[in-house]
Amino acid sequence: MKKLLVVILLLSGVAHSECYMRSSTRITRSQIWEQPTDFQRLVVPDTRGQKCVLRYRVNIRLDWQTVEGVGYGRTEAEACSQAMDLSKGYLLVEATPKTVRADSQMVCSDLPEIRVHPVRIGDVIWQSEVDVHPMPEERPYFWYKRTQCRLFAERDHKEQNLMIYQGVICKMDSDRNGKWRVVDKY
Amino acid sequence: MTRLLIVLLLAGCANTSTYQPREPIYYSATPGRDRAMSYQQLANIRVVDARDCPRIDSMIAMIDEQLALKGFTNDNPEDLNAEDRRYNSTARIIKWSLIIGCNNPERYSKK
Repeated sequence: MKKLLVVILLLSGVAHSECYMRSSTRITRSQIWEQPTDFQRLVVPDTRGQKCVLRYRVNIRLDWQTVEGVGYGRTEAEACSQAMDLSKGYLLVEATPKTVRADSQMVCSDLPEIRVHPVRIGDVIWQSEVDVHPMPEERPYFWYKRTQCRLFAERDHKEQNLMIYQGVICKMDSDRNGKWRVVDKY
Repeated sequence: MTRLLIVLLLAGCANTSTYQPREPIYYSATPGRDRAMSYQQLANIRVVDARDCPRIDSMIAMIDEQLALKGFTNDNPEDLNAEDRRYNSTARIIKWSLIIGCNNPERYSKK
């Protein structure tokens, strides 16, 4: 009975993990339209000291992509500093039957999955959960009530129509990697 | 053939650097949805220009009043019908163009 319970618990854990394929695509700075953002880190002990797995989001030609970097070091700071090296990061692509091959490297993690989705006024989100504005002149950050804000765009496929909304998100605190609130959408 | 209707609500934002003289806007202060400025009156407001900034507070108050009269205080666009969505987005584009343009002088070139 105990064994059965352990198996069920393990299986439920796997089911909740998000899995990606680690692509062979490396990132170069010239491809990136935005500074990397929405960092999530997982640090575990390693034979070399500490292993840091860093997931972050980069914007490549208007699309947010998830990148994973791995670093090793004697300390957490050293390991994570290595993991932040963009040139060593791999793009993660969603695992689908079409993309999985025998030699594919599958990466599963309990880190919260960040992806673009429809938002509503008042929602608290990661910056990369909304698309950047399609117009370059509307992309820069701006200040409103001493808070850093930016415009975003949202595509809504309703029946056979494509609606494009825009809106404003503002940073909730001064933390560089903090969350954002949707303050308007129209 | 699939009909594709692209609603470009964003177009209004791009026109930020030209200043066009305009007639004063008159609207009724009587509360009620029908008393709000018409869509056409709203659409005729051209922003943003540095000359709008000294009266930004009154302009934003005026836009907020129109939204309140229409009952669009914090509505998400997907909850509105096409006509209301057009009014709501036009008003909010004016409001945010003012906020962004006047609070961030480096962002838009000012004449």
